Amino acid sequence: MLKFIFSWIFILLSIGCASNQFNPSWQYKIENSLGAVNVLELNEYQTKSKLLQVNFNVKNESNVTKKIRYKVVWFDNNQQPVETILSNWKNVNISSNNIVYLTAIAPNESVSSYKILIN
Amino acid sequence: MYYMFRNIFALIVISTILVACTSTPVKVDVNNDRASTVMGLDYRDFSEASTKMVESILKSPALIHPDGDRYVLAVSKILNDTMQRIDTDQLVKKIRIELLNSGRVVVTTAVGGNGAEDVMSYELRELRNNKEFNQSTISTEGNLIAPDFSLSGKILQRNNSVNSRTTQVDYYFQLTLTNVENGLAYWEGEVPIIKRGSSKTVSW
Repeated sequence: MLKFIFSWIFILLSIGCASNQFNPSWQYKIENSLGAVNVLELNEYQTKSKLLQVNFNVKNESNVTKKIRYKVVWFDNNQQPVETILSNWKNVNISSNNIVYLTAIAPNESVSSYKILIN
Repeated sequence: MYYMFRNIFALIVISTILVACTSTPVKVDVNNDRASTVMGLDYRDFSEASTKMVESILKSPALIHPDGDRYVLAVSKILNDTMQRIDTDQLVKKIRIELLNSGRVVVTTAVGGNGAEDVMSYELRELRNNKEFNQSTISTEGNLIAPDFSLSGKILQRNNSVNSRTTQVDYYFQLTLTNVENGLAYWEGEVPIIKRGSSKTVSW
């Protein structure tokens, strides 16, 4: 009986630990519709020219080369999207199990937030 | 009678087929165009090149004015050294718009590599002493602002045969930002766009 209870507790703990995924605080800034591609790290800082710059790295978790496209939509202080060519879609090829380092810079100082779209 | 009906029927069928076969034009969504690329330069290449150039300029400290002001930029000559007939404004206009919106520069249209872009600045000055015009509305001497920086560049094309069936076309977009006071290039950028395709397709 004791063995059965311990086994049951062990199974519950295993399931509990497996579902406890690391969810970084910047995850809400990314909209990724690709399953095999993940954003591992995202850093943002203000450049000397007071423009917001975003650096992020994307990993292709699959065993085949993935052709992804991404764009960064910039929002001003009123949360309105800023119309700029810097928000155009960009294509990137990531070979299997590889990481690419991507950067984006805000078009002007009025930008206060952003969203990264990947598909 | 039978023949007349037969002819009319045949006419209707043929005209219906012809109308159905005519492809209707579609408007391209320039923000979400997934059509395959062409060997020549198209709007997506100019958009990609200008985006990369603007990002590079904004990341560099070249256009950060120490007093927080804007620099005055003049557009010099942008050479088209490709086999295609290109209006280089397809590249430069996008860059100008973004730099203007960035708050870093204002662009002068009173001087340029091919003369004044907007001759009105000079035409209006010809009206000095013209009694038909209220002279207080005519600009006085010494009001035009000279540029601090000049933007010049070149678009290059090189064709190479990969094999008997495949051709590679290399395009290079090159731009330089020169401080006109001392003639030094404060920023330079190059965006290569390389295309590989059938030798049967032409790139001019």
